Amino acid sequence: MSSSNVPDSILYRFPPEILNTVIQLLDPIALIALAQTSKRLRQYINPEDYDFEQRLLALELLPEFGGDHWTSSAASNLQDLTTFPRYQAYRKLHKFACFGCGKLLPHFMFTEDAMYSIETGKPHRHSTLAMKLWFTDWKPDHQEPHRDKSDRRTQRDAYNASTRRLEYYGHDRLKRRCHECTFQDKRGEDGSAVQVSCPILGQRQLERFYPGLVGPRFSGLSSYKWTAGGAWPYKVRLYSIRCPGCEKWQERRAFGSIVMTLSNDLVFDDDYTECPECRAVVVDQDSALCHYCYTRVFGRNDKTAARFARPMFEMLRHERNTLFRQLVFGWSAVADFANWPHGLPGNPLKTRICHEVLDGLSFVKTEPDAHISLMLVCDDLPQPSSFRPRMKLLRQIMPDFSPVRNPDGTEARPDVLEARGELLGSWIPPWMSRYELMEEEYYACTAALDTIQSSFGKNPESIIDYMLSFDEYGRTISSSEQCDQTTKTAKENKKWDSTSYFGRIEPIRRAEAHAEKQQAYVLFPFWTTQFRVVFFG
Amino acid sequence: MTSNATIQIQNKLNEKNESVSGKIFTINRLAAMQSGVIRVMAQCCELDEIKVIPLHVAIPDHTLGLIVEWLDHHKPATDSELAEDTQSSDSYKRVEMTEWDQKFFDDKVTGAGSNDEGLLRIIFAANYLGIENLLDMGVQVVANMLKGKSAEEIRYILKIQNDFTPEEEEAIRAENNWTE
Repeated sequence: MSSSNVPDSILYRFPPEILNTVIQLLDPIALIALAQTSKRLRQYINPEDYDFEQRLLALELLPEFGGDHWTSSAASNLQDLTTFPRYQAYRKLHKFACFGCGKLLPHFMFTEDAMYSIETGKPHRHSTLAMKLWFTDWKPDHQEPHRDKSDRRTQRDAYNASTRRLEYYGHDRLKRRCHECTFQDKRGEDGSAVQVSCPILGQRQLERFYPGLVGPRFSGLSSYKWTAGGAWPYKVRLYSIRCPGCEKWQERRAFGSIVMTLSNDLVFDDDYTECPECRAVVVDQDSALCHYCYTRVFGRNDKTAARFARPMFEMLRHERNTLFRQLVFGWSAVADFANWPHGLPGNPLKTRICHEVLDGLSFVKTEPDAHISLMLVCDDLPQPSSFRPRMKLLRQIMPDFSPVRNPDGTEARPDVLEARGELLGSWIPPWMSRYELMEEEYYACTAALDTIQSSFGKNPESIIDYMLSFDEYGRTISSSEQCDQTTKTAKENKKWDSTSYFGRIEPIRRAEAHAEKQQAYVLFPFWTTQFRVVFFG
Repeated sequence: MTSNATIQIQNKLNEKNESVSGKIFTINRLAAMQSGVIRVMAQCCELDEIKVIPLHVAIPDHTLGLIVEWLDHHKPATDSELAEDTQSSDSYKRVEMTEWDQKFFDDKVTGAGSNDEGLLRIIFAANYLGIENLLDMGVQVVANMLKGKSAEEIRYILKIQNDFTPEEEEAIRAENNWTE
């Protein structure tokens, strides 16, 4: 390889065997970069699809794109994303490769399975798969072909043969596809696939959707789902939705009310939340406009602000009710504990709890063998602050359950020991430890609700700006822009045709009107003001 | 022959080039044996008979001096260690660069990374003399110069002229469109 006019690069002056060795010592990223420097090197290296795949595999393991596999669970990895600055940093840093479109994309473009499963998750940095990407497996054309599927078989073989835990992940990363690629693949079969599930977060929805609405401390309070079997960390399944206007995927918070209905089929496999939303399907895709597109079409006005604020208001109310339910649940659990019929009778501490702490609570029954069933209608319930004296008393009694031995050194009675074990294994201690925090947050939610309610309609601009700030692509519409001008721009951008969204504004308006008229099932269907909790004592 | 025995290597004289002056370098025998060429010569005839090994390719004195320094530093302790080091193997063995090697290349060969010629000469000379480990290290230094760099940076570092047409450049940009 030699050049005529310009001073030759040392690469051109190397004999082929040395140049080959240099190239083989490169990583897949540098291999492609070198092939993009000049015609000669491009012709010599002759990168193929395989090499680009390898580059993508290597790119997503770079520290600037999130590095390698996380050892802890997906939920706890994403736990820190409750507040917006941290989420923004995460979104910027953590990218995952889609091997359909060949791009590194943020987490909301993938299902949790695609990002964290054994097959398609990122490999551990010390695994064979990751270390293999330190060097390209490029070989000169005249040598035996290398870029075939046997290499992928090798990856799987490495996984199958390995007993080391760090080898578990990422042996089938090439199967990972983003939402858009999946959507495009399935478009012919089912045109309604505009919503897919996203990572599950063990955190509160409110802070995720509307950060800072009720204060920064809120994010520290994890929520629980209370069932007959006990309390479980409440997992929030996030959703990404494809806006029919801009055809971009975003997290659900970038969308307003969406006309949805419950499906009889389990459209989305979801074992975590049991929420109706998981079985909800979008009835009218045209209503699933992101905030940005909605503002483009309908302008910045009171109606737009009202549409944007409605889910926020609903979610806030739901959050307040959830907190109240958590507060009340604990009192029921205390009653359940005190009335447990199978223990030895006559425990004085249990009797004290029944008679002094729980006496007079309308929604618990203090009789032994009682089947506790309560129906809560949030608006009719007493204020949580009214329970404070009872909590104070309960805190005085509870330490008496702790000692294993009596003050005189003798072993405690079997029934006391039994009650102690029962207590320590129940949800009462964690409930008591966070009781004040929950109560505080309950009142913070109430205050935020009052504020929104009182200011509603007075300052629509701030609501619209707040909602547009969630746009994943940083798009915004200033107050001076009119929707007509926007559609004109869309025309100029050749987006205006019979099939594009902006050519079909009228049907959307009709769908909106229809939704309002029919009281259709709208976004956040599980946030109701009333709920029913049944406890079995 | 003891491990302290020395031999002499005479560079080829090139009257047109002052840097190739036919200078004689004295080097430890075991150190010199790391070179495949010298080893073959030693196997062909007794070293005692040839007092000075002449090189048939003109290597600049400065470069040959550096190679002698490198060979000296990596001198095997015994003949058996030498045999082990130079044993041919089908599988490629990647050489570990020590701190000394890194400093050697940074300070003396490339001159703080600006002198590609020095690196090129070392690689060529190591290739000619059959010093596999030095050749591998030289090649590794070149590869390290390219890692983590964009195509533009590689062009700048290795003085590669961009001869792509605008259409080809557009196609390359599309190849790099892997992030939003």
